[in-house]
Amino acid sequence: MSDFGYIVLLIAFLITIYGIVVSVLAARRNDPALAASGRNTIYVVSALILIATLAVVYMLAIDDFSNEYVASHSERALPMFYKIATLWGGQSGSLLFWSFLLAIYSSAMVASLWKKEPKRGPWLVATLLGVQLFFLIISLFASNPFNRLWVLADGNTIGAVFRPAGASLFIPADGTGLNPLLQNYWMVAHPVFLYLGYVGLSLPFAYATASLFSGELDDSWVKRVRIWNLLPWMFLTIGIILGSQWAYLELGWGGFWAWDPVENASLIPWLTATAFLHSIMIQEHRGMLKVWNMILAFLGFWLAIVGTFITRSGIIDSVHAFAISSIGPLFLAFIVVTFIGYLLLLWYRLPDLQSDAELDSLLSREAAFLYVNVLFVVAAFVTLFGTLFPIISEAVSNSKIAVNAPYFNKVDGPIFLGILLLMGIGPLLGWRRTSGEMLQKSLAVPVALALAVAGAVFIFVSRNWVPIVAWGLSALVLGTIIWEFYRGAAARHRSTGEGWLRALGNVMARNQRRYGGYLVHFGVVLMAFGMVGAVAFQHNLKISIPLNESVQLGGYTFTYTGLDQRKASNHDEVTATVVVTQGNRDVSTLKPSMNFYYSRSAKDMGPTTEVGLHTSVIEDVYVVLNGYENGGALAAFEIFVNPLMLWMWIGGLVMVFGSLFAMWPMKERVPRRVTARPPAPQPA
Amino acid sequence: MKKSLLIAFILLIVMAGAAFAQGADPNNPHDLTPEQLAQAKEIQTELWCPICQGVRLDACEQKVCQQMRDMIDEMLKEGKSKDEIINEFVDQYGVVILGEPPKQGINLMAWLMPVLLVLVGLGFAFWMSKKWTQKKSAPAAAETPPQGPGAEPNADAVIDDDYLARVERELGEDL
Repeated sequence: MSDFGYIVLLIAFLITIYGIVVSVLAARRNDPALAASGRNTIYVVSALILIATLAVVYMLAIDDFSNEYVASHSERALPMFYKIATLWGGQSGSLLFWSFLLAIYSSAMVASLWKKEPKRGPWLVATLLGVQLFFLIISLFASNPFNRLWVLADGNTIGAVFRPAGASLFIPADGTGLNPLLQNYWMVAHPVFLYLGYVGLSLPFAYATASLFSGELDDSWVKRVRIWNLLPWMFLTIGIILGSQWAYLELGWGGFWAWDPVENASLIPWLTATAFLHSIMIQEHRGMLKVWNMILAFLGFWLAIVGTFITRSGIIDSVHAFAISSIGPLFLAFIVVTFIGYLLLLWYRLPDLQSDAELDSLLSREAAFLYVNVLFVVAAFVTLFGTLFPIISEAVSNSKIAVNAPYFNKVDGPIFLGILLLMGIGPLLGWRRTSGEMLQKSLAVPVALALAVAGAVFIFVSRNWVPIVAWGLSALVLGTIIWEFYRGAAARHRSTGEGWLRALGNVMARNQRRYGGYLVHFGVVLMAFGMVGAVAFQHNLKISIPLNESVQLGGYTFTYTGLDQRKASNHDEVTATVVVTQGNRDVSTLKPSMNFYYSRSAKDMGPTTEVGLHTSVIEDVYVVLNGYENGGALAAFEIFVNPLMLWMWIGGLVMVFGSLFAMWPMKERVPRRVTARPPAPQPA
Repeated sequence: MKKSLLIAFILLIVMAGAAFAQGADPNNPHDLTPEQLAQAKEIQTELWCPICQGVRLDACEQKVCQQMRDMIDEMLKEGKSKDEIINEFVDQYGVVILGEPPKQGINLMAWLMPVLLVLVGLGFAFWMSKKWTQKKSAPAAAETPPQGPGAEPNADAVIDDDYLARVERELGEDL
């Protein structure tokens, strides 16, 4: 099966090269027949990659330990669900999975755009296949999921596709097992969404590249690319939120975001993709920011690759780990080549990318979009810089430093607050210009709400400036959203005489993008509300409790009442029982546990913990079991009370719902550009 | 400095053993005063595990971190101040345990760069918007906003009507 998969992938590789050559030729000669042949390669390559991926899944499912990937990432006792998820549990499998998703995305995008894009089409195919080629090269030559295990003459085992001289096939009795931290439902779903996001960011890049190559530089591409950016953006959002959910439930440190390099690698392209989401609107409406959009379409893709490089090459642990990694140099080469290549291409087309319009006023939606865009991109680069800084510092001063959460909170925090501020003001500004009085009028309600909230927090809750400012600004955004919904509904109610609810529904349905966007903003407000609550007002206590004794924290009483042991298929589970009460009220009985996995790889890591969690709209009560003595006579716990956590997850759901609302195909409308303001009533 | 840490460490093992034998309070094995306990916790939240990535000392279950926590207790009992304790750890493990770049030497760059990037970014946005507004021709700039003084008595209706017009106009534009 290993050989079969390898051969299929090799054929896919050759056809990919053919497809690129043919598509470029077709574009240069303007030959539709040749172009169609190039397009068909996308479908063929996708089918082949699908087969190769299924081959890995099959080997995982039947415990084919002659395969190196299966032997080093799976084990017999692993539940079937996790065996299949092991496809994205290790490096070479996840890179093949990347190819697989790219294949699906490419096919879908080309199929939907082919008829509309006679000129860009072949270039689109060539670019998508070019990205695919890179990943196929990695899978075939650097990180191969189809390696088999061999015992060399000297007794060492290695993984290789072909039989090394004098070696014989080696089939271990069992695999080394999947990292226990990954054996969690959230962790199974999280990488899938994250990759759907990462890989999907190739699509705007491919579209931009196709536009630059073909010289078709009118604004139609930003219109059509929107959905191909919004979809990956939504997946990336889900992936990031699921990742936080996993960190919160599985890592047992009471937090949801540690600013570690892997997390940052997902946030950085999200920030530029969010900027792109906003700036394409300016080009659609006003024909401005054309070069900027080309850059953002590239950055999302490029930063996703950079992020993968940082986290997969080992460079972040130490500059020296880089040399050991087989994929590091290939990724670095790809990063440099795409960067220089894209820059040259953009430079070449620069004269054709002039703005159609000018900015009428600083008090306009265009200006607000421009500023918010810049802040998103700055946040992305600040985060990237902080993530890479330990390497820079180590190279220059030879001493190791760490850049952890407090640093990022200090440098990214103010930028995010700036973005919140613009989220509050921007939507109230009209295209082209807004008069001062009109802005004053629409800002009155949101500003009043913001001041009321900030004041109330100051007086009743805390003198800490973070919640005062962050919640105040969140209230500003909320006020703006409410005001916009109200005005939309009111205007329609007045003009059509429809009931309020119906008017609101109709305005929203006829204006999906606008109101979908506001729903996403509302989700962001809820997330900010929850996050700030959990970070600024967290209580925690690390404590050992003797059996049947209690401790107090944040108004709750925690009583440790017992310890049980249970066997699961591939691990032992030790569960403590902690009864939580508040005054006379029973809140919950929590069962935090420690899992001791049997597999070889897991034993090196030590036990993992499952938290005991009671969640409510006010706060989460979160208990971690860290150890026990004398058969449970004494147990060590870490207890957290995290205010408002639930709102973070609800906010995430609202964000996803808002994006779906904005994307949902309801009816096709012919877009119109605001070239000039309709005749304004002239005062006499 | 290192010698004193070593001695402290050996002492600590001995004392920990003694404490265990006496069945000391597991939550205060070194018998600190409540103020010292609070101080120990504060120091723990400002230091980071020297071997793992991004784990704070107070949350870390690694052996080295457990030992560091014990050492903090010991040093507090010796009457050392928070700064002295942190400095001793920096001497021992390097600045990596501070969890963020110290504000000196090459590491100062980590703090200046974000400020610079924000300034450059905002400067760029300002320059772009200035450039755009200046290119605008004079007659267009004199365009009167829809709410002239004449419209003021009924500003509410004008704004709502204008808003409806905007919404309806933009329906086709899909935003």
